[in-house]
Amino acid sequence: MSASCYEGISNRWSDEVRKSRDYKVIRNDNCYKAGFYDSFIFESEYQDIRDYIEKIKVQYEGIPFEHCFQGDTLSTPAGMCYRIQSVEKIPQREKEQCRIKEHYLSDLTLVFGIGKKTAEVLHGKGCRSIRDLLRIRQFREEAAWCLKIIEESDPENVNLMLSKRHRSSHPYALLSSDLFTDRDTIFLDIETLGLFSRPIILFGIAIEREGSLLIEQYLLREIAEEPASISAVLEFLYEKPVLVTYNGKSFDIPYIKERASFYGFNLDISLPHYDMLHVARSRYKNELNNCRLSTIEREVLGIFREHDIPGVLVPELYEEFLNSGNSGLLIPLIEHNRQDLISLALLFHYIKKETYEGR
Amino acid sequence: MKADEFVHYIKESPSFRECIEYIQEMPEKKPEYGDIDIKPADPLNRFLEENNLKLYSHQTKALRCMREGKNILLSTPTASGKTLAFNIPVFESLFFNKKGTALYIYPAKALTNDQLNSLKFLENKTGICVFPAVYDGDTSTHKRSGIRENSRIILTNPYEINAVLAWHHKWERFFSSLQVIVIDEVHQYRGIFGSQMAYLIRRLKRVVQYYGKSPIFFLSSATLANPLEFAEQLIGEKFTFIDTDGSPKGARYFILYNPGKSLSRELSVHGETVRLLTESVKNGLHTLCFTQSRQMAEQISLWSNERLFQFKTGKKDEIASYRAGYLPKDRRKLENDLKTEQIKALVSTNALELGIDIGSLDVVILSGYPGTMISTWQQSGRAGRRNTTSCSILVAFPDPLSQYYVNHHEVFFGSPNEEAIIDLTNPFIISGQVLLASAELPVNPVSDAVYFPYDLHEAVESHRKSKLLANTLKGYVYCGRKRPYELIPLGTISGISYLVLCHGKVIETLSLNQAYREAYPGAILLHQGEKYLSNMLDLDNHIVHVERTDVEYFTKPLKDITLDLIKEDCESKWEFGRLVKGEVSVTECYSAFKKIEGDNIIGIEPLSLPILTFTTKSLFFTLNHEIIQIMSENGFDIAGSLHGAEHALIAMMPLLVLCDRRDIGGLSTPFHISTGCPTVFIYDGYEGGIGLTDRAYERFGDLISAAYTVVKECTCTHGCPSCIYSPKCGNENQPLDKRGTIMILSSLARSFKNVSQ
Repeated sequence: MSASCYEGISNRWSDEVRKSRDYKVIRNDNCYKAGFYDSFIFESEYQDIRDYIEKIKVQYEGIPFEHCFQGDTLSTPAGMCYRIQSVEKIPQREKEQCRIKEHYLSDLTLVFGIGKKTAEVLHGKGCRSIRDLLRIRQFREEAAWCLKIIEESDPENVNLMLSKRHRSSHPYALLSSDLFTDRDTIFLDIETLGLFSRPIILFGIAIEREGSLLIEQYLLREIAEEPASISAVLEFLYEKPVLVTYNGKSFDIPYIKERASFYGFNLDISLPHYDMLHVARSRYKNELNNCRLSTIEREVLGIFREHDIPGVLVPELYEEFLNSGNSGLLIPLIEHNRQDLISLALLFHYIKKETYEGR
Repeated sequence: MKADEFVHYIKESPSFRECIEYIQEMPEKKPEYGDIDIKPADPLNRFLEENNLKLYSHQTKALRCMREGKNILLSTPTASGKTLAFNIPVFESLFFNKKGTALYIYPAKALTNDQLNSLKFLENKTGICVFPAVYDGDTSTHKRSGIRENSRIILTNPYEINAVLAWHHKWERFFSSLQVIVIDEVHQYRGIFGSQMAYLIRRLKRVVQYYGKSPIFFLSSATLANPLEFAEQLIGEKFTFIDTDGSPKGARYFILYNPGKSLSRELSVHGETVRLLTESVKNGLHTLCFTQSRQMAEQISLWSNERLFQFKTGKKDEIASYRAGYLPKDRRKLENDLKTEQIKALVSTNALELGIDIGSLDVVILSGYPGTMISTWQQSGRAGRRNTTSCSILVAFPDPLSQYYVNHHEVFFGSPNEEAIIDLTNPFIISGQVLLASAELPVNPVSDAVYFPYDLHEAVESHRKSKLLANTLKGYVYCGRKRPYELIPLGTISGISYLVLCHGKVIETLSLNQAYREAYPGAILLHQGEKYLSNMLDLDNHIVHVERTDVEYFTKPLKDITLDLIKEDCESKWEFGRLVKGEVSVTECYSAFKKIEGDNIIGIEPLSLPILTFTTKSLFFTLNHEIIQIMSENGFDIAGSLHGAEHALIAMMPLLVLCDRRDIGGLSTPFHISTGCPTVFIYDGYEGGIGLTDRAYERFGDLISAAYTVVKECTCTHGCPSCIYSPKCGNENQPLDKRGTIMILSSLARSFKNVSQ
């Protein structure tokens, strides 16, 4: 049939897409209604953001993308992509290998056969360290094995031991990141057009160097830049860094893997990966209403964001940008992603410090 | 009494014999074993020998073709050892290739579970480890990754494949070792669902090709008139056809029973079904009876039990009824009761066609033609599985198709007539499938034309303009906000599909056209033989709310159709005009609906639905002055004659192509603005068309000759349900002129005699 027929059909699909929303705006901020929806946004919050966005749109009307976002164009074998670099100071922290060993040695439950209760009993009998268990015949062999791993401090082996005895949300699991002395720690956060099977529109990466976060954001000027941006991000991952994310185990990393394989890139690497959502959940579930990163940074780190856009609005903002060409629409997106990376780094250090100090 | 004695008894009995149109005798068939030199690999051969099993000829043929790397289409009847015919070659292949995998696709969930058990059994007996597992919507999340990582045979259905293709990177291990794809019951993939299935298969092939594999396809199908053409269209590959059945069969009788044939009395199909059923049970025969609806199943079992009780021959409740949606527990009880002769007979809707094992039966009664020859043979195949004589009886309704069959047993028992049709050119299906593909791997309009041979460029270009696709160096990629497989459901044509909800549970999805036709507020909707009342048709959210109901009436919409011709594709001449195939725009306006109980209209209620306009494919023929003049001279009503011809043609469509008459629409008019002549249009009742009228155009000679025959042979004078009345007519079957209809049909039949377009 004719080409015009196909245009009619395409328009019908895109109307369907436009009509569908992944979230619900809750009228009158009725918090009792919110419980019915997987993702929602309160009406007042929604209004504030829309007002703010309308303001930026006017402000940035006609201003070219490259003026909005100071950055450079990278050329990769998969095409061009656009990189925005910035630096953020954060409190410097040394990696504390010695204190880790102390902590691990004091954790008797690392030894196979010792649960919480047995550990308490043993503690009462004066066993303060795994070393002390060498005296007890029943645990001697297992304790010796643990001791060897802790003494050698090979981070991969330590992680393997931890993963056998603790959930990944256990604060001690986090400490092992300090053992990777020769690797960079990178913080990663992506923004997408939806939940899987759709493009990633912004890749945020922060590397920690001597009290600074070097932030690189790869923002798609058009969808065509996705493969190149992925290949740029993969370059970071091929360097085998230590990865820190917020919900990255179920979202960011599988998503990147899916998109990489969609474009035919090889992503056959496994990295040490610390997912702070798991840690935050087990740490704050009784103290906070929810464990969104924005909630935690406000309640725990005392950071207040102004005009932050909720993640659920990201797809439509980007779509509006594609349709209108107004780059201002992406400013809240870039800011949101950048703050997420910073808060993630701060939270990572905060919880580690708390663990070291034995709170 | 045995089945052959029963046949003899019926034949001689004065109260039955006047309705018997024909008795076909099918002699006993001895087994044909395959070439003994063709043995499967050791563990399988040992299994066969230990169990004293010999492969039949079609089974060894399948094995040989598989070894030669050929795609296989197997078409043998029910109970011919089809399962073993797949499983032996597949297991052999996975035995030689220790990492190899196989995918089994079934149209329904119930079938995957049966098959899983036979695969586990074979794995157990042969020691060939294939870890068979079902992977579908019911598979729990925590089991999924284990199955993907370890299973070498995965059983699933099209819906699941549609959903998982976008996640293909998780299937890398399975896809990169995929040896064979088994697709059972392929004849079910026809019409809209089949056309989408054809593209789903192509998407699967595209993804598997990405992992470097081109697996063999092994299909099974019921008997079709066009098996190879159909399989090649569905899969896009060449096939080797195996249809010589080597399995043994007991002798069978098939009786064509026509209550309308009785001159002395007015007999109804249901009354005669009850008489035949009770007679059969009285004579101690194990009987299964198929009806067209659940209510009829219940009624017939009730009436039959009462009748048996009157005769004082036996206990009450010797006859039970069965319907879809029974719990497994109830099913097993019924199976068991029937086997242990607690009950003598079962009355069922066609829900029983699949999945339930009730052993061998003596008599099967089909109360009404089941709609397709495939179902007819599947249902009658329930009788006499191996070496006993059995009997099937078809009790025919007074509708044109059934009457044609019972009066033309040579067609009924002859070589298959029905074609399974899919349409790869429907733009709605192409458009949607291209979107789905673009979310799986980037689409390249040049190299992907292998998978999308029609209009790929147009589809991609218009998606790009609508910003659903973006161009990258790797190809076109999906960039809409909504997940494409949620946007485009299988089984309906356009993005706008209506979910039918009963107490919050989805029971069916309908296309826009179907929703207007069948689910308007107040409509009685039939689903698996059950009646549902439509409470609300929510046009904004595309939802139909229904509830179960037991009312006696059914509903019929009154509609006005107008039709504009868009373009003509092919044309041929007949004695008095033109026959044309082309594209049309149809406007349907539903103004009211009738409630009908029995033959009485018990109410008419208005409808306020927006007007529905869609583009589809159509065939039409025109009449010139000459014939109009002759007809006028004879005093025929032109409009009534055209109307009758339209009804007769539509009624006979299912003879040639597997479809329901409601899949097809028609319009006849003494003057049409686009043609300037009296014209009869027949069109596919779905947006973009699904190939039905395309095929009817190609086989117009066959269609017209059947339509002419059935009208000519009907003994009525002014038209009746057996010839030119249509139960779906939106104009109350007014006007109709039977003599004029015969005149049009006869001259058309003369013109197209022995002509294939």
